[in-house]
Amino acid sequence: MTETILLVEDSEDDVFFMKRAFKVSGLKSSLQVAPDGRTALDYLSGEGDYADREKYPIPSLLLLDLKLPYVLGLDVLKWIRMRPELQMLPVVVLTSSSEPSDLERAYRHGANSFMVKPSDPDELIGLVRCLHEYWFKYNVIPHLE
Amino acid sequence: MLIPISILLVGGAVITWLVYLLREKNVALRRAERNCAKVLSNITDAFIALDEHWRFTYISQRAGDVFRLLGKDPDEMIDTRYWDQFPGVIGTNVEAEFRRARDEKTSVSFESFFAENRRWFEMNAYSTDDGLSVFFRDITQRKVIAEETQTALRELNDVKFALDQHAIVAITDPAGKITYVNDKFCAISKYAREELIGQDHRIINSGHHPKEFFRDLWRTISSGHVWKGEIKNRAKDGSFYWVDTTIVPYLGEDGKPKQYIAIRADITERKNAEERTAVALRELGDLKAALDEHAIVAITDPAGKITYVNDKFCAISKYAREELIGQDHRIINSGYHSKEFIRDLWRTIGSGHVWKGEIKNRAKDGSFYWVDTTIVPYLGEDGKPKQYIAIRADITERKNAEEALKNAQQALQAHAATLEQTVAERTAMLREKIGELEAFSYSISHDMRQPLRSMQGYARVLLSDYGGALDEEAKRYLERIRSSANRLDRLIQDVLTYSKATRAEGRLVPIDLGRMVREVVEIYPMLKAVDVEVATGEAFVLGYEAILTQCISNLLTNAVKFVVKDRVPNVRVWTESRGQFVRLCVKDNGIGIAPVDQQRIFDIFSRIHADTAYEGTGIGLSIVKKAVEKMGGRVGVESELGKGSLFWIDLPRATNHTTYD
Repeated sequence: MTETILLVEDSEDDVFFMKRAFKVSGLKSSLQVAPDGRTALDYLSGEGDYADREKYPIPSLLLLDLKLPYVLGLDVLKWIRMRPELQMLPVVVLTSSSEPSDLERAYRHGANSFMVKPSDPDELIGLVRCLHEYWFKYNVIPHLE
Repeated sequence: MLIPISILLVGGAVITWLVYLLREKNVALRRAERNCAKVLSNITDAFIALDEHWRFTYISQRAGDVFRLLGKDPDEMIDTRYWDQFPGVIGTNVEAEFRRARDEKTSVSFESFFAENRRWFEMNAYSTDDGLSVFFRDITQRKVIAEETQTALRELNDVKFALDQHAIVAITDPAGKITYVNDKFCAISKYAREELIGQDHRIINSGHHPKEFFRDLWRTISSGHVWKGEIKNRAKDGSFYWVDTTIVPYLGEDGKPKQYIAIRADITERKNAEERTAVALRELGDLKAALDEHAIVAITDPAGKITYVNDKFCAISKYAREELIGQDHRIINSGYHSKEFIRDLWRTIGSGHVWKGEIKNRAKDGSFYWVDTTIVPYLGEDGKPKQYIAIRADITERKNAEEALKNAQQALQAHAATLEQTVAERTAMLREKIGELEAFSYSISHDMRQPLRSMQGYARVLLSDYGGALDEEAKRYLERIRSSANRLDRLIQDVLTYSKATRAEGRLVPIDLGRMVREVVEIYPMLKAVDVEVATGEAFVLGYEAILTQCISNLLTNAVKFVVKDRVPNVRVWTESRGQFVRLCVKDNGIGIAPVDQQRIFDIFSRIHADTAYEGTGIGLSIVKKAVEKMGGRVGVESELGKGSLFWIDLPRATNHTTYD
């Protein structure tokens, strides 16, 4: 069974680079995308179309941008950490900002990792490979109901 | 008294002689005897004759008078026995002496007390051929006087003893020579008795009294009057003593003083005390005068009624003394002080404590004055205040000045408060503006980077994914797009860093400059490739780790970057101690900076070289300057065109490696 990774990212360009990195890396994981915070919440709580868990399974890993329209990435994180069924979901913050305040708040609210998006697409490929290897090869993912 | 006795003795001798004659002539001379009896009866002494059987044979006229006084008839006593008439004398010395005179044929003289008659008699009994002749005389009065004299003498002795014990006594003759002194006189004068007797009183003259004093003394006593006075004398050892003196002259029969008795009491203690008191009083007088001169003084009784005010009190209160005496202090009450203030004052002085404070009073003309007041309660023997002495100093001017100052201060404070509020408001506004500006520049930078990064990304993807389909020209253009995007990205990153440096805040921590320089050299590949000498040991400064790292890397990369093309960059780094600062020096062998440019190279976006000549955004040194200033330090450069540059930063030295806020 292939694991699902949910990418919460509003920039179409970044989504493109991420999808390309996944493709180039030859990863089999299913990459789901939520283009804003509100959609991310809908996906995670199974609202509307997302009620179909066959099509939209609960992700094993969440890649979260912080600068999002409607609901900020940090609020998505807080919301996740308040939901008993999602509390253990590994969340990797992936952002263009290395602001100390963003970093601090992300970890304070339960981020498992904090990464600055590389501007070089080839570097992104390396990051995605490394990320995947880390979380799914060496790390043991908790099983969510 | 002596004269009558001697007469009696002479009389007695005459009688003895006459009796003797009678005995010689005896019976033949009956007539003569009768005549004699007649003579005898004329003699004032009482006379009786007793025969050998103690019977009265003769009772003289005077004896008869005596017996009659005793309740007997002398005529009936003739031929009766003496013992029958006076049975009370049997067993007394009268019987014994009578019998001795008769038995021994002699004469006896004795005194006897006739108890039943309560009278004294002097008796002279003479043995005669046919009995006893007895002369007797009532001496009761003399006996009583003698007794009284004895008693008086005894009492006198007692008095003298007592006097000697308690007083200093001396007796002088009319010429003033000392004839007697008692022990106390010797003790107080410290002279031995022998040294005093025969001297006159000049021996103890202290010289204190004027001549007139002693002239008056002598005039008084020599005219027979008693003199009383206080005399200061000098003892043998030179010390002085005071005696309360009474001199009594004893007059002879000629009315002139025979001797003077001087009785003295030691009053040295009292005199000294008086002297001390006098000195104290004099000083007190001076003090009072001084006090009156310089202070406002009032005295009140326990009820608060004014009993005394000095001139200064009257002057400041503008009341006449008569208007104040008998009033209480309400007359000058200004109404300024609270009732509690006045109550506290009274509570303090009423319980016997000194009260100090500043009081505002009102003068008669309605003007106000301030007095610094001290009220001292004077306690009676019962421990309760007898009177209060209030000493005041005029502090009106000071108070007015204080008042003015206070008003000025208040005005100033109000002004300052307004100013402060204005400043606070403006600061808040400014802060808000700055905050907005920072947030603005931050998001601008971020939002600018986002599409830029996409441009870079797509150029890159195009090159790697479709490189094969492009000719060299197309690839070169793509490369140009990429490098332009890179430059813009760096520019934006530097702007971000600069804005970060301006906002740096929080706690300054001790940082080892040497370690940090070596770490930066390690991290930057472009530095590792060139010749960088780091000659610095431990040098702790206070700073923010992130932006200090930025500063050092900026300085080091600058040093390597601005070098003439073919020259191998050589960079030397060291630290120096500069008082409270540690200076980090970075010296390069680069192109150097002309003096005109040295000032503006720290300004943001100031580049002194054409874009193409040397790589750079023109923000690096601005970041250094901003960051160093944020950490309480300073930056500088020493350079000459073509001779390299020396950039330095001074940062506060960290002592004890502790952290500072």
